[in-house]
Amino acid sequence: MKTDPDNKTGHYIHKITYNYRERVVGLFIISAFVLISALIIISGRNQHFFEKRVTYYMDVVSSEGISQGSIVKAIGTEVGMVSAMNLTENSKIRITIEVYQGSRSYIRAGAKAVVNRLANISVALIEIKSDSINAPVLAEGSVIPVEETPSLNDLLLGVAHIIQAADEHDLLNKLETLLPKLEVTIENAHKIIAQIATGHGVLGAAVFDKQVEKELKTVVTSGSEILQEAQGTIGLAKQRLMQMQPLLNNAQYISQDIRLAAQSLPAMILELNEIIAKANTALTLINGELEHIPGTVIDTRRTLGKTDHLIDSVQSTWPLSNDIDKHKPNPLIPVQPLP
Amino acid sequence: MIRIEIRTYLLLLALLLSACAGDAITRPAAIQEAESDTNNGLQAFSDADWHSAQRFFSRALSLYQGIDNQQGVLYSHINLAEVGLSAGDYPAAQIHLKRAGDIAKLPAFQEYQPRISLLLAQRAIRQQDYVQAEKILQPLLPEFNELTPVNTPDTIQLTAIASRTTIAFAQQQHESKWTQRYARALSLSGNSSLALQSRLLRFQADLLQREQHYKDAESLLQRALTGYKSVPLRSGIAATLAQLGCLSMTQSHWQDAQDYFIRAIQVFRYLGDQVSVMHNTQHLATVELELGNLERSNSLTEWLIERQKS
Repeated sequence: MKTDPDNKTGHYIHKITYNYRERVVGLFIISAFVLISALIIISGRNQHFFEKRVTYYMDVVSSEGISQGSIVKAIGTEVGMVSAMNLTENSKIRITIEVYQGSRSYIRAGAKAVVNRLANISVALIEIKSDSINAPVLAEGSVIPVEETPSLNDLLLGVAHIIQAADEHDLLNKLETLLPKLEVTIENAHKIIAQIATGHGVLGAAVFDKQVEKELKTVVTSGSEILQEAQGTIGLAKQRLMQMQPLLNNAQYISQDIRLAAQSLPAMILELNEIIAKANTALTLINGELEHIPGTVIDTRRTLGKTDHLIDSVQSTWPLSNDIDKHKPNPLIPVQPLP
Repeated sequence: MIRIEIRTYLLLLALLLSACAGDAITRPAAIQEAESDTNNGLQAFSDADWHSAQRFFSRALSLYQGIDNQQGVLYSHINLAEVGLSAGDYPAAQIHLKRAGDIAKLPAFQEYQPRISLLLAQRAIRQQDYVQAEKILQPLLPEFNELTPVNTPDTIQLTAIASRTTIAFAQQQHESKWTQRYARALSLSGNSSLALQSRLLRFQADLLQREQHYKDAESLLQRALTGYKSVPLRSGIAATLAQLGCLSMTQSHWQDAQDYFIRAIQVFRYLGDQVSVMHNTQHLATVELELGNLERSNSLTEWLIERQKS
């Protein structure tokens, strides 16, 4: 920068002259300023800083996974965000949603909001679904009805409830007390069956012993013998009945225990049904997400490739290119002497 | 008028910005993949993971062959030959060296011929074909003025001298002369490779051991061990530990010998060098016997017999 000696009149600033290098430097600085400003403007537009917003409301039971700034989607694209959360008189939480003016057309009358807490752990996905695209655009300040999915926490609580219910009714302990009794009963039954099979006892003899047949014929012909045989038979029957008594007692205990356990079964089945329904919803949602994974992987790979290319390009741009080491690694294993 | 000026400035700005930018790197994806495989192979080789190194270099070879990149193919063959030598797969090393040799006959790749010859010589040494190894090494060796090389030797020549010294020790002919030649060549070259320097220390320790200067020999071997560990070069570490074990055995320092052989066996086992594992286990069995650990010595001998049978 120099002052022009020929120009002796006017303000000092009018006497300054610039050489070519100074002009280029000035130009470069100005261009950098312009570029930064442009970047700020583009970034602001992407972030919807300067876009008008339309307010809608929705009432949720739980604010789990929702926070100020949570993204609101419609037909898969971001249309707005959560701007405020307030407690209502009916113990619900009123979520204020600000929808970008440009995306307002996605939200039509009759739209429903789905708060999906199973898509991401700890973050809820808010999606507004419109029934028909022919319906009029939803008026500003409308309350959108909400459908909330249970969170992973709720599902786990349900499972915990079942275990707790089983625990409360002492089912496991009862099963444990039942088992030894059942074991004794089975053992007794085994003994009885074994006796029958070997032809011992009244029933066994009746089924397997041919001697009984002969004896019966004799009984018919001899009255006294009939009485004697009858007496013996009654004695044996009595003995067998005495043997069967523990078996019957055990059966009585089992039926009592089963009756007690059965009382809590309907409640348990109802809870189980509820859990199955919840698990089903969760699986459907997870399935939906899984279907998107291959596409996401391809997109990610493409993005990584482009980023790599971008980094390569940036690295080859002055002044960065001066500082980046261009040394390429030797593709050969280094020469080494034998050990 | 103002518009024309603005346009001119915009044009200048565009030119200025375009001058700042360099050429974007647009290499084919196949080459990038092959380079990535080669880098992974080099990493696996330095980790002594021969199997992974072989897999990565083979993939790189296939990719280079797929786009007829002869330089890449040559590099991959040389790398695969190195892996073959380290893993003890000499037939595979021979095949890759033959193919690399064919490519190196082309005028553009003749500079790689000494490297291939060196690898051929190293393969012959490992297979104890010393006559063949000496023959292959001859053209690689620098011209000597008695003990000093006439010109400054490069890394290939230094490694060739080291290999020739190995042959001298194996054949027990002119060991001292070749060790001195190696020392002078290394000093003249100014090469700071710890692998080459540690190898020289081991040759010198071997000579000192023969002259019964055990303390000096051990000091040199410890220096070599430190050198190998700072590279780190596992094969060198194992060989030095085994050498220290033998030195301790010679001095009847059985406890030290036991420690060195156990450590050497562990490194050889990591490298998958079964021959060296067995060789050192044999030494360890002798040491255990000397220490009065009869049971341990017997179990090691039984293990050796079983391994020899299988």
